[in-house]
Amino acid sequence: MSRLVRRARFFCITIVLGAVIASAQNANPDLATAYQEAMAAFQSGQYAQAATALEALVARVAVSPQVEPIFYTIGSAYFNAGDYVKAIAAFKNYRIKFPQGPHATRAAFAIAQSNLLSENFKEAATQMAAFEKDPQLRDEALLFEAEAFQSAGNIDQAMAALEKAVGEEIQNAGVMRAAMELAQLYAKKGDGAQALHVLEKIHRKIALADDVIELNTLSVELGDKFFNSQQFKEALTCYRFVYSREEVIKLESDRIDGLQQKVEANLAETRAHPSKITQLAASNAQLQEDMTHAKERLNDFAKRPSLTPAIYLRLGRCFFELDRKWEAVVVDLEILDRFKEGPEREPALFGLIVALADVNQPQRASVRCEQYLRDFAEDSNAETVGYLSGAIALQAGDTKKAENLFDRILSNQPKSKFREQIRYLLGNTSFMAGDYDEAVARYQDYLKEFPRGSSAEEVKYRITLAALFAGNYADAMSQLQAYITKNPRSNFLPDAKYRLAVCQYAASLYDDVIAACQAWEKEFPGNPQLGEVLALLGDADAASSRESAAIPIYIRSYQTATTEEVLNYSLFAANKLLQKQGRWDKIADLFTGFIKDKPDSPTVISAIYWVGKARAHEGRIDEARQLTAGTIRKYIDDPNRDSVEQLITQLAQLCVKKTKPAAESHRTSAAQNSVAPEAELDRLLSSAAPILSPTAKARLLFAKAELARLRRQPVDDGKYLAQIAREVKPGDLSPLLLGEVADYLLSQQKPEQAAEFYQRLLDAYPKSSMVDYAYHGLGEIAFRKKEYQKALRYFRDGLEKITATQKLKDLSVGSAKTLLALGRLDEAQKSFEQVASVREWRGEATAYSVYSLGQIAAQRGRWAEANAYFQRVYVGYQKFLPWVAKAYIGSGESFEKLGQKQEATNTYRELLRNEKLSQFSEANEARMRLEILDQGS
Amino acid sequence: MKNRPPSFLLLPLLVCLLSSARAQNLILKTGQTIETKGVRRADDMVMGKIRVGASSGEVGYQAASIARIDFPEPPRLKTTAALLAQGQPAKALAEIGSIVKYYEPFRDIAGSWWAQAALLKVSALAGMNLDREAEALGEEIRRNVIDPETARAAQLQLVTGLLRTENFSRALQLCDAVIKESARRDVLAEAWVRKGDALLAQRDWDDAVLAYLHVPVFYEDEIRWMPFALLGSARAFRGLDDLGNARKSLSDLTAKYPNSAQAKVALAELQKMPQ
Repeated sequence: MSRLVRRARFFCITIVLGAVIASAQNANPDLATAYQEAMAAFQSGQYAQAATALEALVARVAVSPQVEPIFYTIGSAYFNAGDYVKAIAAFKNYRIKFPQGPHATRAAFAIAQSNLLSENFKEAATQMAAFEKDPQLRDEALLFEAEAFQSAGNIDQAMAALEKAVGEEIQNAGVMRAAMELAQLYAKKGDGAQALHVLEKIHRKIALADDVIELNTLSVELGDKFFNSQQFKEALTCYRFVYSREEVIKLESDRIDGLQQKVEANLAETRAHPSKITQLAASNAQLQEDMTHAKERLNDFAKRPSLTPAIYLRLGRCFFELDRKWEAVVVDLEILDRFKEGPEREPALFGLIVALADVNQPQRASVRCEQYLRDFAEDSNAETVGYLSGAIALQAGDTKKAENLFDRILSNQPKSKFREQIRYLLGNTSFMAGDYDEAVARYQDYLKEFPRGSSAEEVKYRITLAALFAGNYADAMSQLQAYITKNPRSNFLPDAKYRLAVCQYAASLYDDVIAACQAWEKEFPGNPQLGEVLALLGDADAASSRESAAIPIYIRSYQTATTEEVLNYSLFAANKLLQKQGRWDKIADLFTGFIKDKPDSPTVISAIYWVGKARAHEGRIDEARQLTAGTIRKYIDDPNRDSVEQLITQLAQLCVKKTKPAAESHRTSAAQNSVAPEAELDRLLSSAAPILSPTAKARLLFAKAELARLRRQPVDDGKYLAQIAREVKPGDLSPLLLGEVADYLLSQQKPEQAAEFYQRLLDAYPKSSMVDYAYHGLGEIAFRKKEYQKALRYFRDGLEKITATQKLKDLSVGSAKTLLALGRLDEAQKSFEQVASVREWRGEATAYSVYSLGQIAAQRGRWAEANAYFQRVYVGYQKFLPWVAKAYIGSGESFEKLGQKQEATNTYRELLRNEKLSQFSEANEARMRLEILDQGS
Repeated sequence: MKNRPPSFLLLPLLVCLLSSARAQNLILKTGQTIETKGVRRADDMVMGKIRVGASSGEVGYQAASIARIDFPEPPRLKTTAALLAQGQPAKALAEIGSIVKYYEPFRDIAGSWWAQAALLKVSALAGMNLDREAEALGEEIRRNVIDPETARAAQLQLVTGLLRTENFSRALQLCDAVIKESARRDVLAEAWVRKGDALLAQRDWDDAVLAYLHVPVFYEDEIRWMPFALLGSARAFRGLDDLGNARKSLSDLTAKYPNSAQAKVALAELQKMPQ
């Protein structure tokens, strides 16, 4: 019998008991005694005896309204005795005798209940349906109706009844139970959305739930059902509905308190209205029983281990399956951090490793692999983790570690199911590390142990390739030839033949290469490696002075290339040859064709740049301008297209250039020649859109700045950058503009404003090639504020975390000077020495570095060494006056410290003789030192 | 001012006679409950307005003798929180100002809503970039509250200032302490957001992602903190060059919290994200 129906019993007793006692007060004394005895039997649970006694009693009295409750009680007694046939008869009898009686509706309801309990489901359902419109009995009727339908196997109708009971909002504890039943039925039916909808309703009214523990169980079961049917989103929602141990204890305790308060309220009501004692006592008995059950449940629950880690584990799996791997990492970490013991730790740690590897966090994954192999060495996933540990190290590019880990697993887990894979990867690891002899040995180990392994063919081929990758072309050639002969059906045949041609190229056997590549194309038409083979063919043609033949081959190569690398190589190789031939018309055609072939390639903007450049070389300046300007206009609003600035610079150059008056040139051209470059730039970039986007506006100003720079008008250049800074928000600028504007602001001593632009560059374009502007600028700002630790962090990040291209020199100098300011002399010295040694950086940075090396020596009291550095500055870097001035003073001071006063005097005088240094503060300092030296002599 | 002793004789009567419709009950440390029609602070006394029959008057109690005042929850706490969630800090500030002021004299007495209201005011101030005022009030809350959870929430208000001065280790220490000790979901959600901010500021992208994601994973119903967490996680993903996840976080933010202040930022960032 379901719990819904079990609760029906009590409903009958309370109503009946109260009614009968009330009517018995006016009965005949003999009859009253008989009645009291019958009721005593009823109250003591002897329902069959009570029913018999009451039947005997009604046989002795005339049917009248006074005895109406007895007729009803007879039915109740049979009902409670479980004799539903007699109960139905008694309730029917009641209805015949008292069709309008106060218990007529209840009797009809009891008949329906009796039918349900005696498994007459069809009748019960029909009878219960009649009560749906009775507000008093509606909810109960619907619950019983659902029960009847469900027992009869009519699930859809049961669900319809439960839906009616639940409605839009759960109103009472009975309906709450119906809702829980309904959620389960929806889940069973596979209707996840509806099940969740009901579950949401339940949780909105959680205070009505009489058993939160059971509700938790329901949520978990539903979640598991969804999970098993791969409805991970629905499963996730269910698991999230599960209350934590603390929440359950609180909810259940609150409920017990609520029941206790009801008991106390009933007692107070009894004291105020003693006539209600029977009803209220019965109610309290039920409340006490509920309370006892609730307390038992709570005590039992409190003894159980927390459900939270098990739920978290499920949450983690759902996130993983939903491809929300970072979230899976968060959950698994939480389990490991919060629950130091328990069966969930192993699967959580395993899940964490897999998820971390998936989100490309090899270092973290590697640490967790170590932890797993330490804590769960004997567990079922240990073999997988062992394999993963090496694979993850390999993923991180740490080949040495990968080798060690794989070797350890081979020795610690000799029967690992991943043994073959590990042997194969060990070879690959050595191969990747460039240790080809070791790789060959590892591959041979593989073949020895797994001669028919799934990677055997590849391993054999890799052994052949080892000589080629080791640069031993002669060996490689013979090995490849042997391989080709021995493996005519190998999957690696196309690659082997291509590699053989590469060896021939290395041996300068260009004719052989050409023949091999041409044969290759015939033998493997449509092979994806064709682009590479054609590039090699082009190289062979070019190397053997057949440049004209090479060009179309390169073009075919880029057209068939499957990687950006091959595409760019061949395209620009063709371009290089055409430039060598001075065929700018063909260059324009080459890149125009490329744009047509690959309109979505990231190289398109560079291609347009080259078309423009080619047109300009041909004297077709207008055409070049139009083309460049057209492309700029197309991408001008997108700050992420950072090649736009490259085109702007080109356009500025084109606007400065004068158009050649060609024969077919026209009057318009001549007229345009007379147009000022700035006006021309405006005309070319004027947009069809009436309102410019902030990005476009900034780029137009940048174009003018570039124009000013080319025309050597630095004031105007700065003016436009200042206007960008004033009128355009950092969020609307491309990486290059952010860097340029910020540098301009810093040069204008506006560090706070500059910092905003640098910060935006750092945050929005961390991978841009311009991001080193930000590292340098922010470091410089911090340095000027004497926040040396912060400055050093920026400079070092700029040098170590990214590949600095634009500001490498400045970052190096910044780092060195900050180390000096921090008094970390050894590191500073090393850094300045590095800067000073770079030939390409010769100039002010060198002067500054040499001077600083002098300062470092001076700080150490090594005055002779210091002096040598200072002298190197004013002798070797005279162009850089600020450092020359400082170096003279440093040198003079060094002589003084060395006790060589005459040399010191000479040095200070030499500074003063240099007219270019007369305005420097060091000139005054030199005069002062000379006075002191004169006084001392 | 001279302290007045309470009129004990009247009390039993008053308890029965006073209406409880808008009562602000004083619960004394003795366990006695005094129903009042309103309270005010007078130095170290709390004065309760009472009615006896047709007449009314005031009784005074030493604040130290009061266990709790049963103030009804001010509805403006909810409306202010809603305004904050919608990214309207200025309106939120206007809404909560009078509540903070009203409860300020009772902030040393249990049952006062000062700390809760003041915390909302801190959020409103921070939302308007008035960091210094926010920090000052956060510090005031921390010094004055009795409830440890509110004290923890107040501790978190110091994080923004610590980040500005680049005292990252202290900021992280604060957040970690709150995460370890708190049991309140809203406080925990805020702590994870602040921790994410501290890590993001140090460009520790992966740890920042993990911190921010605690909110959507474990505290998804804390809608006030969800927009912060989603925006923060998007930025951290961006730092990791994980544009797919960055885009997803921003899209979730604009779709689920379209009225939040962060949604507007997210829209702009989405548009500027490389395709």
